[in-house]
Amino acid sequence: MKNCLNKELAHFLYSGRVFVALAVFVLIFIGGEVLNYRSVENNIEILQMNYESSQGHIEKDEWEKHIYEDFEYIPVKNGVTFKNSVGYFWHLIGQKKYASSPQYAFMQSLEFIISLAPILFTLTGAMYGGLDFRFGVNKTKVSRDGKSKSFFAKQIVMTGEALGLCVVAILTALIASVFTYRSAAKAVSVFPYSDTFVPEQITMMPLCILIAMLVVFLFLETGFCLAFVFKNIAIPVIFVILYWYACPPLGKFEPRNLISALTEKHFPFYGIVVNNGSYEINLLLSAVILSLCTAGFFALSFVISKKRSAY
Amino acid sequence: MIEIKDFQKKYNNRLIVKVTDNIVFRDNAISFIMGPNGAGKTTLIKCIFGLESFEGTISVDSVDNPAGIPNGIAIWDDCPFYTNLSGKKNLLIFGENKKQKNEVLETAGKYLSSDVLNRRVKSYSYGQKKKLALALVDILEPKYLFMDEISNGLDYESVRSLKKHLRRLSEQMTIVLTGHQFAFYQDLYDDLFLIKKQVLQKHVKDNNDSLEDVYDEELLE
Repeated sequence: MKNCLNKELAHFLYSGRVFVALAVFVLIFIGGEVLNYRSVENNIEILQMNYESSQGHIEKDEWEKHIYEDFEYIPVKNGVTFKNSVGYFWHLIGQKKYASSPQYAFMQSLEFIISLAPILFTLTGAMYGGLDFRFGVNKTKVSRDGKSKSFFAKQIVMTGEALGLCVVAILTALIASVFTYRSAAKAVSVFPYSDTFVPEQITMMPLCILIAMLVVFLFLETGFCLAFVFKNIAIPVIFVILYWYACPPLGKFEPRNLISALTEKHFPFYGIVVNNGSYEINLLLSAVILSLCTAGFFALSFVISKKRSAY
Repeated sequence: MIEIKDFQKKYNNRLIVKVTDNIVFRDNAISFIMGPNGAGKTTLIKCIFGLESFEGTISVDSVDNPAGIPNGIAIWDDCPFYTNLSGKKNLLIFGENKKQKNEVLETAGKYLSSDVLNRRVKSYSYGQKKKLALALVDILEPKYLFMDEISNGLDYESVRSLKKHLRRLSEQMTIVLTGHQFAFYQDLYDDLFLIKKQVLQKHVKDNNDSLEDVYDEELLE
């Protein structure tokens, strides 16, 4: 097993994939924090415009009163209307500022990981499932190590890579958030900033981590299995993208809805990551179905690896 | 020692190759398997290494039907490597940390120049890929070495030195060769095996017989 792991790790390092993967993850997660900051700025601009347009209606010294009053966001036929727009935008600024703060960086990283999983982790899985077939080196590996050891070594290194990248991504986001939060704090300093935004009680962090890991493993195994079946890296990525972004809803129990429902229930989405509407579903049932899907893809890959010629 | 008993390999109920009498590839000897194209030589090697399923028993070091041969290596005719990486990186990946990096480069330097080793394998000629595979053999120092059509694509100088090298390696390794360039294998092998009418069988060596004669007499229809 040690030799198999050595080969997989050595390929990960020597192929330069480690640097590409790290660069992609770091850029995406820094980008997320920067977008958070931009979101605060944009909302300030809107608030400023709103203030200017409503000068005739709201006295400047009544600002603070409006900030603390109830607001409402009402969708109408040709757009939206607000009840107490000052209060609404002030709330939005507070929310976006909080989203760019280090307190929220970890949670937003998990939201990011979930929202990007269909592409990033399907691709990661597909690389491990299909790359050796593409180069024909699967037979070189299997001839020395056997089908099972070779299969499990790929699975272990793939999981390690995915978890490692998630950790790097989260650390990157935490560091980036320190800077973006400072900038955001400066950006809103034109207003008497008070902590009017109070985040809702967030679900326990370990549960959120578990949900994120469940989603990561599902897409890793999907990518691995489809790449293994088709001996191709592109097919699983195209398949998942088509399913995820183009396929019409298939019902309550499809993975897309389960993930959406799970995240909607347990993640606040204060930042730039948004979640599409979904049918509501029980937490345990969702977790069981998603776990079964993951285990199913894993089992299918394993059976194929044992039964099929290893090249 | 590798022993093959009651073996048969079929594809979709079509028999590819079988063994009726027990076949033994002796330790520290060079065995040569002779057969026309499509006779099942490569398939047999794939079965020995556990790449293909089969019926029967293949024992390696008294272990029946092992999942793979950790102390063995097969050099396939297509010499698969990560072609998007350099020869050097491929040796470091497949070398399994058996040797230090400088030792790997020193060993590989006997076959290919450092300039070639630093190039991507996709730019290699067929012969250069074979030399890279031979360098890997020197790095891994396996007990069992299988070479499928190894002499194909090698230049005259490489063929001559490979012959000497194989003879030297056979002092520590069990070597099984397949191929069609009989002049190369003629004075190299210790045991000769034929795949005749889909049956692998041992041929009793007669030093006066050339491989071409054996082929003409036994395998030519």
